[in-house]
Amino acid sequence: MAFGGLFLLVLLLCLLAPVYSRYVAHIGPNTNDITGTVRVGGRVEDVVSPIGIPIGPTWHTRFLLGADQNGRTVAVRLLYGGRTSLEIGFIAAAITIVLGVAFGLVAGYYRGAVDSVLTRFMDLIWAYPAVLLGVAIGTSIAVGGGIGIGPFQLRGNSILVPALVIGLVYVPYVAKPIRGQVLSLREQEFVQAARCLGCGSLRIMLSEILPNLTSTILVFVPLMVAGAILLEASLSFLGAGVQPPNASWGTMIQGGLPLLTTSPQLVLAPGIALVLAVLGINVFGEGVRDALDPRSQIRVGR
Amino acid sequence: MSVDAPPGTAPLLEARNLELRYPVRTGSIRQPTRHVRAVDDVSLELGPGETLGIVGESGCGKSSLARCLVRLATPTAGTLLYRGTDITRANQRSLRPVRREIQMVFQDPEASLNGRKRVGQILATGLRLRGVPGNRMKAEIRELLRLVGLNPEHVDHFPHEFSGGQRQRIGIARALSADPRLVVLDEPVSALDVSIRAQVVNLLYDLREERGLSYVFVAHDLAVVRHASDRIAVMYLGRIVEQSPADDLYDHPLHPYTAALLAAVPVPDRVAARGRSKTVIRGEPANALELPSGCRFRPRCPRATDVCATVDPQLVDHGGRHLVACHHPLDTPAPAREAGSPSPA
Repeated sequence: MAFGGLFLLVLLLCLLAPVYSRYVAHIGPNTNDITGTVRVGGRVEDVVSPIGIPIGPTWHTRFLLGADQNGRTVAVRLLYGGRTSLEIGFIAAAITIVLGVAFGLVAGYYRGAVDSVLTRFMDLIWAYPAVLLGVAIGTSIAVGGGIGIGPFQLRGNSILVPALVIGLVYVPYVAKPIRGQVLSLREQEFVQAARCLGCGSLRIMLSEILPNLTSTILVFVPLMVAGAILLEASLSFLGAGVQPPNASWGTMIQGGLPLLTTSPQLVLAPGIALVLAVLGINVFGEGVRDALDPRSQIRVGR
Repeated sequence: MSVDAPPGTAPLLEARNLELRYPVRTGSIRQPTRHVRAVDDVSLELGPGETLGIVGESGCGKSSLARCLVRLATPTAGTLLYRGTDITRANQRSLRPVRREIQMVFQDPEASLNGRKRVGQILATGLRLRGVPGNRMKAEIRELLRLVGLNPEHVDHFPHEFSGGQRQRIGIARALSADPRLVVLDEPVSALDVSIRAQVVNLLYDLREERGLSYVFVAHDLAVVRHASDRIAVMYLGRIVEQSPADDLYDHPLHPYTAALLAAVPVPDRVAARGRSKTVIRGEPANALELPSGCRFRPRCPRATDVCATVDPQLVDHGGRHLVACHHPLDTPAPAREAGSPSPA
């Protein structure tokens, strides 16, 4: 329980970053101060030294976690980058879950030809490594300057591009297990009873089978959010995700890599943030699942 | 070979030469090479208000037949008529008006209730499909619960909060929520404790009287269906081997298999027990994939002769709507036995 509370706190801090970052940070994520100086322990130091080494953590209000090579504040970029990462994570997870559950339900319920077509298509996506496929789609959209489907226009540097890419890449990881579960659920007697009552296929899928998938879906949501955040970091690190100068934990790690030996905080700060956020989401998801399962209500009293 | 209905009552449900085959895929070549006939050439008829008992040992096709009758399975051959309408191969959409009138109570009260839905929601589905308006819904649900002997206050409980017997009552209430004319009971009490079987069976009797229902009562235990049924059909390996009015079947069984089933029912009355034939059959039913030649009960039958190995007996009326498929029914003297016991399949 103590750990659950701790991780809930981490998660809330992450999620509320867009709300409170304005009050904590007095400058924006892209404000640079490359020629500025800062007073540390009575001494005045350059934010970025003449040989290009940025200042380390001052543990002070200005440059709390130091600066990067462009003189931008790491702590502020961490806040705004986390916001980007989490936004992408949740949007991507939502896309994955909605599409994955829909595909899994339809394939598992109708079986036969519908199932074959959908499953082969899923296998096709699955056959590619997620990162490789993400890089391929992400880069082509970014380089192509975005895509437009009807009224929906997506600019190449929008954060919705990596969200969409990541969301699509993970669909089979949800659709396959859901399909398997639907295949066994549809043979259950309560589904046959519903058919006996005269329920149509749509009603059976949505009102009989879907509620029995909730615990599986609830297991997947935090996994997918965490996976999406990690994949976003990977894609951004490889230059196929969030486009500079937008801050994200992935782009920050990439930006800090050349100075890994002299200024490890540039990589460590977003790296630790990434680990904490992903851990927090997973543990939080576990708690949500336990709380929502009607069969586990007996454990509430412990 | 269907039985003539008593004059004046048109049959509610009529099955003619119904057959349900399952393909058995063998080996790596996905070619359905062989079939299991779970239901093989079954004809039966049920009038309004009548109860037909179907008995037989496990795996004889009782449940498959039940699933065919409610059209959860599509028969591979034969005809199924409901009030004169052919529903053998009707699709889901055209079945819908009929669905409501034919309901089913399932064997496993645990698996037949959606564990994610509250009792009220489970019962509301049938009511809503029947067009019960929203403001009447709550009262109707409480009425249904009262009807099956459950506390109407428990409408917001989940199925796992009830005992097995109570869950089966919910299953019965769900069947009733559609306001059916015919209910197919697929071993409704065999998953329940012996101590509460009688309660549930009595509830089913009461509901039949109260609502004028017809039942198809599937059971593997003759004692359970005895007093419930007007007529009883005995199944063996997918076939009906004997069908007769209930009392006639118990008093004068004609098929050796029926006699053996009856002998297996414990009788508390010692006088009655003394007069019973002591037919005991040994062995297991033949493999449904490799049926014996001729009569399928032959390998286990104490009366089997040569003719049984060659000619498959057909259902023949022995008077009083008592049909039996046997070359040597028990109302004829035992056949002169050939040397040795009947050869196994």
